[in-house]
Amino acid sequence: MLPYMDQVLRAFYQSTHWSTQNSYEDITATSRTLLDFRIPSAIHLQISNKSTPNTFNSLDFSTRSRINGSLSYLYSDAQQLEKFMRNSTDIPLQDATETYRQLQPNLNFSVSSANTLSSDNTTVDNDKKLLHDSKFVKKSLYYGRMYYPSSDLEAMIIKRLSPQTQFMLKGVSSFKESLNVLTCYFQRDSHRNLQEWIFSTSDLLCGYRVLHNFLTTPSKFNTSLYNNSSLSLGAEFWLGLVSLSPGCSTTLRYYTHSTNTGRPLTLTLSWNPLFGHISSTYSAKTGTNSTFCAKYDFNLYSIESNLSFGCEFWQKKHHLLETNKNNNDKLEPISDELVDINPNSRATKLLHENVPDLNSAVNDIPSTLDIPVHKQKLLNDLTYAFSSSLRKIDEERSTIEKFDNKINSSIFTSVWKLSTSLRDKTLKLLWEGKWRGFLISAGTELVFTRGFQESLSDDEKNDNAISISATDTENGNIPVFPAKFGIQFQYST
Amino acid sequence: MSFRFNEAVFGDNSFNERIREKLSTALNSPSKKKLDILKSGIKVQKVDFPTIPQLEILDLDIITQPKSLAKGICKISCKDAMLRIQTVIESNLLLINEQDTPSFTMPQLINNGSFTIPITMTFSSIELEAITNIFVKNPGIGISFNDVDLDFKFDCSVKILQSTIERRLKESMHVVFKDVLPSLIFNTSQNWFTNRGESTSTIPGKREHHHQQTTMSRNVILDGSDFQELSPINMLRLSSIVSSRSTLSLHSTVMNSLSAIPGCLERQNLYRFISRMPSLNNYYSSQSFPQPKSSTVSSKQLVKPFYCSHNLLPKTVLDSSQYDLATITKIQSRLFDRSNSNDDNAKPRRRKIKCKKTRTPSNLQSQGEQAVDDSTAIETVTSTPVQTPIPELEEQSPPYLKTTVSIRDKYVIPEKISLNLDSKKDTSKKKPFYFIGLNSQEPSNNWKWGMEDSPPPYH
Repeated sequence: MLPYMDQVLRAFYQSTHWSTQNSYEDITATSRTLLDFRIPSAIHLQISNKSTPNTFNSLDFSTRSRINGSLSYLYSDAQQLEKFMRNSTDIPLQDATETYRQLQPNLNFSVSSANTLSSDNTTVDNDKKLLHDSKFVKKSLYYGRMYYPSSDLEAMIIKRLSPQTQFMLKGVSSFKESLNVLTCYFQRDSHRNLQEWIFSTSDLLCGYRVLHNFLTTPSKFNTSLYNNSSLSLGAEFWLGLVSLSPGCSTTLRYYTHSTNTGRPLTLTLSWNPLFGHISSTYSAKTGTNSTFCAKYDFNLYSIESNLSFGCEFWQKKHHLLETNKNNNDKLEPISDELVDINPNSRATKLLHENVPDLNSAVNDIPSTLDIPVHKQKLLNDLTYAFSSSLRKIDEERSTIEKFDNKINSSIFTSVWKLSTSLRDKTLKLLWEGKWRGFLISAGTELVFTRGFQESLSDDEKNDNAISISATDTENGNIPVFPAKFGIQFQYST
Repeated sequence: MSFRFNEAVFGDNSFNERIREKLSTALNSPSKKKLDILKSGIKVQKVDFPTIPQLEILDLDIITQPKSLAKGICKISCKDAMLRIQTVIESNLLLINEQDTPSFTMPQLINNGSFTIPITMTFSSIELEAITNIFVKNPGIGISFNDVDLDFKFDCSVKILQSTIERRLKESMHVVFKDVLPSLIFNTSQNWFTNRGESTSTIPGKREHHHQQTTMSRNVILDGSDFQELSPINMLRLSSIVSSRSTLSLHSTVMNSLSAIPGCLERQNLYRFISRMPSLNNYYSSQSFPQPKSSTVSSKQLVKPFYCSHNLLPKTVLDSSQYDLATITKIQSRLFDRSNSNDDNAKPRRRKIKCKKTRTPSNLQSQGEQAVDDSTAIETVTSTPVQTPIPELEEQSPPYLKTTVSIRDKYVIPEKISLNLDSKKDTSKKKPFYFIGLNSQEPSNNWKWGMEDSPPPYH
């Protein structure tokens, strides 16, 4: 489950129109959330509250060996923040947890291209205005958190300096370990690429990250196929000045939709040239209720490899679906008019403008009677020649849109997450769901200590392994033991 | 005392095996804080000592400390030794840094996995020459390296790191000889002394020779088989020492010396020892002072006041005018010197009370008392000889219990001495005189026994 303050942070980004998908840090976010999801390690309770439209606070308790907790406050002067925040009863499960990240193709919102767009699309214009408004108001967010009884402090300040830049300051102060760390981020997002300059006082770490989006313009020709993919290339460079430890990596990401089913899939390939790590991931949303991810790591120098596998299974409210849709509107995800939370629609609309609509073309034919006959014939021929492909584009677009709408509109009650890694011989299990207004996540991490486990690439095999291990534990041999076990409750109003 | 240096131990290869074992356990001891960069234990691959280490004893001293057995200065030298260790290190330093910093402030790095490198370090042609101080005490052997001359060739499998590691190694070598090696030797020897090592260390039969050797070195207490190798003269001396110690006689075996063993004080000689300690009361007792009662007094009774009394002079001594002022001063300064042996420059603070010669003895007494009261505000216990009736019970007790000297913890004010001397000097010399007291700070605490820190004085 996403902590409450992260939800607020996400809402802040949404309300200030800061795109998070452009960050190089999140270039592998999909595979990370599917493979390395966090498992609670204790009994954890979080009570959160939106006290005023601009202030939020949250109280955490956890019992590991003794009761400890934290108290966090957040203030933001962003407008309409309350529209993006939902309490734990109303929030859809797919928004409350980290899951497959759906990307929208990045489009170049330059003024010249905006002129070519049609004027009747009000939402696009609104977005465009918000992004390039001369009356941009600087928004900021202040966040503080105090842990007790260890009395550690966490603080964060985010400031939007201009429509394209953002400054972020994070700090941790711990009395017990006499640890004081301050990290500054300066981010510049020009949609085509996002650059970040980072400085941290721990080890005097300096870093530079950049992410560049290819295929930002929808198309040069109106006749091209429906542009539903995005290709991004990013790189990062680090240097710790104290220990003189360098670090760098580069990553390529390709995001597209399957043409037949309209389901999204993400491919990433990242390479660390210093240490020779190569890691490739393939994540796919195979249906409305399942996601799969596979990751293969390989080291060029040591020839070590690792295969990881993760999946998600969502459970829908089947029988109540229709009635809920009719009666209970608030359970539905935040609508597109209110938010551009799902800018897919925006993107598809934009793209739509670049593709000649077949119907309009047909309707236009009788109206343009003044066109000469030979030209009219040529036009008809062209229309006829490309009609099949244009129709195909329409179909594809409609299947993608249909699939997105299906996911967004469906109400999920719980999700099972599974991930395993061959080399580490671990199996992570997490259940997240909603129960009476509580967001609950319970999970465990199993470590295989003894014996060679068979390749756990299949879900059924996972289950078999658990049953085998269970029998073994009864016999006294413990080949598998839970390294972590925990349950987390979240309630927010 | 005798010992043996078994050269045959170094003759075969098993010594190297043993060193290897010891080194790997010491390097991988769980008590040490494990470094983040180390990803595995340290494995000692090869140890080779081709030549027998030379051990030259420069000085040997069997000193008198109660728990120590021997102290010596040795010169150790070994040549052409070789050592090879292997471990696995983490080369991604950013990852270590990431694990140390809280995740809230640490930016997330993509594909920043761990990358471990096996590393082999070879130290060849090690030449060591060191002068060491060795203390053999009861629980173990303490060694301190004083003058170390070490030279070796270093070879690392990761060539980039070779110069850096070599530089750091040479810098940190003094720590090894100051800290690591002495503690290692002490712990090992502790096992020998307490005989616990035999049960814990399971040495395979292959190294039976060593097993034998170590058990022999554990025999600190003499064994029956060892007697054959000892010289009969030594044995005779030892037996006489033992017999002198185990006697029940109140008198010492050797009449004119304090102890049979140098540096040891025996119980029956305690009285004699105490009598030679500089103090006012036993200085008196050591004199051939005609005391009819002292003959009846047992030694035990004589000893007892030594702990109880605070360096007082009996009244009878003063009455008989046995001491003059110079003698008392001398004794006091000797006492002071003993109690303040730490700082030699400290001078005893003396309180001087000046008396004018014109005063009458009676006035002078009051004046003297007044002066004492004024200057130091001492609550003097003024017990005049007339006021102290000597009880009949105290006939048996030593005479200095019947003192009339005023007593306070830090000050000794012999009022009656002054009176006596005063009258004496008044009559004889007619000169100004001084009352002399000594500020000895907490004499009972600073009192040093010979057995504790330094050998007792024999003078």
